[in-house]
Amino acid sequence: MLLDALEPLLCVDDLRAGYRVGSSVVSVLRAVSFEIQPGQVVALLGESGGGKSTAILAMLGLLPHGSALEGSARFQGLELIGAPEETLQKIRGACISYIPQEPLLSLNPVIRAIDQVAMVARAHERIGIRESRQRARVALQQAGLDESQLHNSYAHQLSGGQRQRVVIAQAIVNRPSLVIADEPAGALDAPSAQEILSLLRGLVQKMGASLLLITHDPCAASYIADRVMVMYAGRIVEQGPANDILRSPLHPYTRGLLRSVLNPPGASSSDRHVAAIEGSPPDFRQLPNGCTFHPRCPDRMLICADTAPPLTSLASHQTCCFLYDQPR
Amino acid sequence: MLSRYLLRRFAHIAFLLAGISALSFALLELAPGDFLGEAKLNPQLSAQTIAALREQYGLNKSLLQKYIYWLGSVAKGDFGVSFAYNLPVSTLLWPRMLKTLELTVSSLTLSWLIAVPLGVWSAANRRGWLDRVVSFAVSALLAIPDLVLACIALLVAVRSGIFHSGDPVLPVTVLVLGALPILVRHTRAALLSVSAEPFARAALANGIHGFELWFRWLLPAAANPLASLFGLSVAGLISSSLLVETILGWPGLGPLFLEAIGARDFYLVIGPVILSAAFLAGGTLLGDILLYMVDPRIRLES
Amino acid sequence: MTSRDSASPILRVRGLTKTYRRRKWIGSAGDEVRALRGVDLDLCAGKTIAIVGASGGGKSTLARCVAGLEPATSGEIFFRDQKLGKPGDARHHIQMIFQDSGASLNPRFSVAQALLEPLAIRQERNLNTSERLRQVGLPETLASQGTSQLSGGQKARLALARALAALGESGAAVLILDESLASLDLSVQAQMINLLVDLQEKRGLAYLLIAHDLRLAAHLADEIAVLFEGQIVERGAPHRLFAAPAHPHTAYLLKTLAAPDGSSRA
Repeated sequence: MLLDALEPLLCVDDLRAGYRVGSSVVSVLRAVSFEIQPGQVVALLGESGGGKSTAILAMLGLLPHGSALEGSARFQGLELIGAPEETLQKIRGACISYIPQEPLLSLNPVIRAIDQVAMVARAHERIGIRESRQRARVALQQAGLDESQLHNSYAHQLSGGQRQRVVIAQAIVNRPSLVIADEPAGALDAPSAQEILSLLRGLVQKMGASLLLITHDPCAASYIADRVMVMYAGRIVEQGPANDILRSPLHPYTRGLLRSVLNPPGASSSDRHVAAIEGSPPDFRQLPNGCTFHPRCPDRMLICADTAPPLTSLASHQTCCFLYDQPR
Repeated sequence: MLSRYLLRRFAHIAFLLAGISALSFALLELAPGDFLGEAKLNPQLSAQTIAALREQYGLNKSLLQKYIYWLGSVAKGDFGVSFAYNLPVSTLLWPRMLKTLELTVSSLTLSWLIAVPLGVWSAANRRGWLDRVVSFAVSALLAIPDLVLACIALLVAVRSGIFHSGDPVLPVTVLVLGALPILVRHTRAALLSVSAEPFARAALANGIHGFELWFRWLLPAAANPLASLFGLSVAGLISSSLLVETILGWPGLGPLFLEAIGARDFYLVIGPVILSAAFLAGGTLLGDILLYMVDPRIRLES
Repeated sequence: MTSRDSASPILRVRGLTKTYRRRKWIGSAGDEVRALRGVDLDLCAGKTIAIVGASGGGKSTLARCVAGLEPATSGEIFFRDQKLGKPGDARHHIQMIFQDSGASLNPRFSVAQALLEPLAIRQERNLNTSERLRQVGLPETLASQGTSQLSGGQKARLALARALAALGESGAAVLILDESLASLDLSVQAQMINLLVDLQEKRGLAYLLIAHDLRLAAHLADEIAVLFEGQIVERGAPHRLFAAPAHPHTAYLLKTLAAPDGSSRA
């Protein structure tokens, strides 16, 4: 039905989360709102400590015990925030799958690759060991790990790229509707990174699923994403179609981030200095008043220091910045 | 290349046992008195008889001579002679050893079968009130010395009259209760440490939970310290029940050993010491082999 | 201003070879692995050479041998025309910064104590903490903080300060950066690049950069050497190398990601 096609796969509204530190709670996510449509590839772009992984863990109910969590995240109409653990267990790995960072650490060191994938299959469906191994084999092959010799290997026997493929196989074996990949190209050299990103996009397209790519690298985002969301200090400061964001960024942080990307080899310049964003990444325990980016912003105005900027929308391109706030 | 390794280890063990035997001999020799020490007080024995007996038992020989004699006896399979019983030591030890193993093997099996699931459950439910109760009970058990446990058991046996002295239930219970706390704590700690690793959260994110998570995903990864611990458990198969056997009257090695010490029955003392050392070395070796089998990182080359 | 004598290299490496045996766990002889097979390098003061190549090609081994952390199987290393004997001979002149800067910091130390550590090899008492921190762009107030409380970027800067402390104030020196910028966020990486460029200009430091990120290598280096299976298969100035790669491995490495304007998409 047409109406179903317009219904977003994931709708996050005003998501707020914080970690318990000692006796107080440090707020990390502040009013995060976004949507993912079926079949879309969306990149969540931001630097480490910016809250990206926190947003995902919050949605999946995997925050540490005692964390604060408020707001809404509706997946195919089902509310995830506050849902009972049994419901979330059924969703994790089957409807929404998460590919964590650092495959070497995310793989069990004492279980063979194929069994690790098979266990994920068995976690969601009552099938026998042989059947689950068969499905695991298929998933591993789809992830690009063809030789069955590798299937029987342990994590430390595989190369970085191979481990990444095992983790991907775990994520796709149950054919989820949403795949969340956290820095999938992080530890790899450039050609392997490209391969993995293309693989992810291809797999997701074949399954008719959506992909949420978490990355700190604008190039990775530009390579496969349809939409980009830029996160800074736990808030989405800009979001829109990938081309718009990457070619004509609005928010000063996005602009600064894109300027920090080094020129591709071949573009020679005598000055080796890079246009860097000044200042240090934000400390969540002591966030600045008003716009959290203003201490580092080259275009800051007086109002930025005491008022948080509202959301401004220009077509499907949104940003939170006073530079674009329409005068009343 | 496992066989070459095993050969090397067995050679080590042989050296170890030789060293322990020599050391034990020397130490025993240093201890005052010998088997016939109390005979002097016996008015029915004349000094000549005692001297003749000394000669017969070889008590006048030097330490080295006694050691060489003993080595020869080991080669024959006798392991020396008991003065008190006038029998080869091995003949006396063998049935007693079997009795001891009856207790210790059962308690080893039972304590591990109880401790591991309990430890895993404890780690999985670490925030619940029930776990706090269980942890307290385990700590309390740890604090109570084995001697006290055995005496309490004895009290129970005497008062209730249900248990008779040939029944292994009571000694095994005491041994299990004595071994449980350490095993449970180690298992719990190993699992807690593994559950904090990234691959534990990765499993959760994939929907693996409950029994599958704790027993099939995390426990194998935590097997490392447990394998070594198992080796240590095996190492104590001969020695751990000594006290319990003596108090509860179980005819194992324990009472025999203590009796021999009291009587200065030289070779009968050395026998269990060497046996215990052999089990210790064997147990550690078993632990290493288990480690090799259980952890693919040690086993395979990347 | 130190004079930059670009005529003669301050670091020369000739025929560096490193072979080691990988033993299986128990008893066996093991396979022979030839990590480096005769590597030659010339590094002049104030210049940067970047070693690039796929993982496992020997880059880190090369860095460790030049830094004196591992003995080479054969070959020679000359610092200012003096041959280095045992590893560690040139600690005062050649220092290395690792990828995980946090791992070399004692978590129990304060920042000031962490700076004191490398000074021990120079038997210097003069700590001069605030100056050293300022040099790498860290605020003086950081001196009393524990090292475990620093952010990734701060740790990287501290690692740099420690290396500079060990190198001393004057004279030519070589800094080996083993993927030191790889784990940093883009904005932090940009700041570190600026810092390194400034330091090089001011003090005439020579950098040996080990990187898998080709763009970083091209940006910083005067010369790029491509290491493939233990050998340098191609070397030259960045723009020349990338405009016309001669060796297939170089071409393979060039398949880098798109420019962020989305000009090449999957």
